Amino acid sequence: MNKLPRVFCSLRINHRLFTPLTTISFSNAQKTLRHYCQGQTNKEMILTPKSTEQDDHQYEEDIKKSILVKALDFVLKTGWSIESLAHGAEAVGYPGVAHGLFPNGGGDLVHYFNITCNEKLVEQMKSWPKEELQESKVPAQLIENAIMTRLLMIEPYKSTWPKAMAIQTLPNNVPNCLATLLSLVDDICYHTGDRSVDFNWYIRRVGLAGIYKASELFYLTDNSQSNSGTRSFVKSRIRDAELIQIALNVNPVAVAPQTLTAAFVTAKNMLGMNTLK
Amino acid sequence: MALQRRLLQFINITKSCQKLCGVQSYSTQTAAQSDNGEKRKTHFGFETVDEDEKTKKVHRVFETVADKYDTMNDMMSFGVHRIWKDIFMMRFAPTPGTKLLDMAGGTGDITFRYINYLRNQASSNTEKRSSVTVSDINQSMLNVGKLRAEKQGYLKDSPVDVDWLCADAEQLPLPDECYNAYTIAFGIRNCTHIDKVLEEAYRVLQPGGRFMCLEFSQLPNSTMQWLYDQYSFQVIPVMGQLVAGQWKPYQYLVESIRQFPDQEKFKLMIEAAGFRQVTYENLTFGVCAIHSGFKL
Repeated sequence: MNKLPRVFCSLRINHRLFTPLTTISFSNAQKTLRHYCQGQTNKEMILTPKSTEQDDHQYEEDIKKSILVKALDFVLKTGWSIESLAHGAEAVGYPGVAHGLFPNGGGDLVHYFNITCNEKLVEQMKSWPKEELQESKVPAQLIENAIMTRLLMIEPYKSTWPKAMAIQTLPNNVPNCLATLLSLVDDICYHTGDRSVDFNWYIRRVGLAGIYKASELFYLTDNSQSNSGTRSFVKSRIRDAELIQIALNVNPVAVAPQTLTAAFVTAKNMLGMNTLK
Repeated sequence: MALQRRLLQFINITKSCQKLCGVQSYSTQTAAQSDNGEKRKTHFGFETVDEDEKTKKVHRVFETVADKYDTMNDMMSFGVHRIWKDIFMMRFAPTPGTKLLDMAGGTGDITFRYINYLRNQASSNTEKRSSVTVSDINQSMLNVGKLRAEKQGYLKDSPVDVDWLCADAEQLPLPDECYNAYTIAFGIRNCTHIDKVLEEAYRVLQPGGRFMCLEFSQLPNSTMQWLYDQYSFQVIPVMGQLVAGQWKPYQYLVESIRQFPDQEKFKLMIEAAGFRQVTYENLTFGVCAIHSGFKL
């Protein structure tokens, strides 16, 4: 092709922050992008047969990530919305209409925030001391610390978090939200020592998801000093979970007397013949 | 490039031959003559014409329909085109500070929706001026647009600066990277060289800029496509004759819809021009489609 010599001598670095990768794939055909005679910036790259869609995808993901990172700074002012994304795009150097890269708008921003918080939590959990795991009981303190750490990551956005939770329940955002919740709970269980391979695997995770969501709701209205209210709430919920687990695992024959007494007292209460001891 | 285009058009022909019902099929293949200056041919509806002739014929079509354009749009789509354009604007969701180039935007439907959208946004940002350049190859369409703009009051104390430009989408007399959004609604199928239009769009957009195209497309379901074909070929030209007194422009309209590549092929063409994150959304089961791409 007669364009090749021009290509080689006109390769110049793009003035934008993100230099496009040197290879871009266009539907398997080898071609050169049009050379613009105005001549200042260059948009021409040669496609090599080895370039992959993976590189393209990675390039796009990097740009989207940089916009999301900057967009988080604007959340307190303009909420979890397209406006924050537009401001984020402008902060990176792209026009505001680049928010169209995120078809779910605010939902994508919340999703990104959840993912980064989960990653941070995993990093921290890996470095915690794990003596408690030697014992064969539930590592309540570790779980409590994990949940508290994760909740406190919401602190900078606490005022706008109710809106974020509502956005997470919108139908097009539900799959992403459930996936991040499951991976959060999975990570906490794994790093606090759960290696079960039976039905317990599911029970523990679902239970922990319930505890986490309840604590999140509590945390939103908690105004106590250094979040002690939330911490005690989490502690009580974990204790409840332990009790339920004990109750489920108990041999029914061994506790028959207690079960009968409980049934008897309940019946008396319902009939109004309760005796206070 | 030539090979790709030939392949696309060859696929189009086999497809359009399958979909024709009761309409004679014409040979619409682009002759692959690229030597000795023999004229390249292209399609004009189902006819084969020379490429330069196509531009003139399209120009004539729109000159004749310009004054009844909006009425006929309402009649042919039963008013649904308004909803399509509203959805288009919702997907675009412009922010203050956007510089839009509305190509083939003659009578101003997209432009007016753009101005309304920006007006309705909480104008916390008064430092950033938004602007729109309405461009069309046909001056009579632009004149209709200007008249509507004045009548409906879009030009005075508007948050948006409006500009009118008569230009060919394949060769825009504009510098590089001067807009951050480019829209073309129901116009790209009339262009002789769609790939050139896409490349020009890529050129005039800033990095991060968005390309959006609203265009008629193919229905994925062949029964519905058949119904749609019956409506298009039997009803629309008749309506055109009754309401606007013209048959041929509306015959051209429905034929040009069939000649336009389908959603996936058009997406590939947009990617070939350099756009990324190219997606499309079907409206009304695929009667039209919104394609969107970014220059990143």
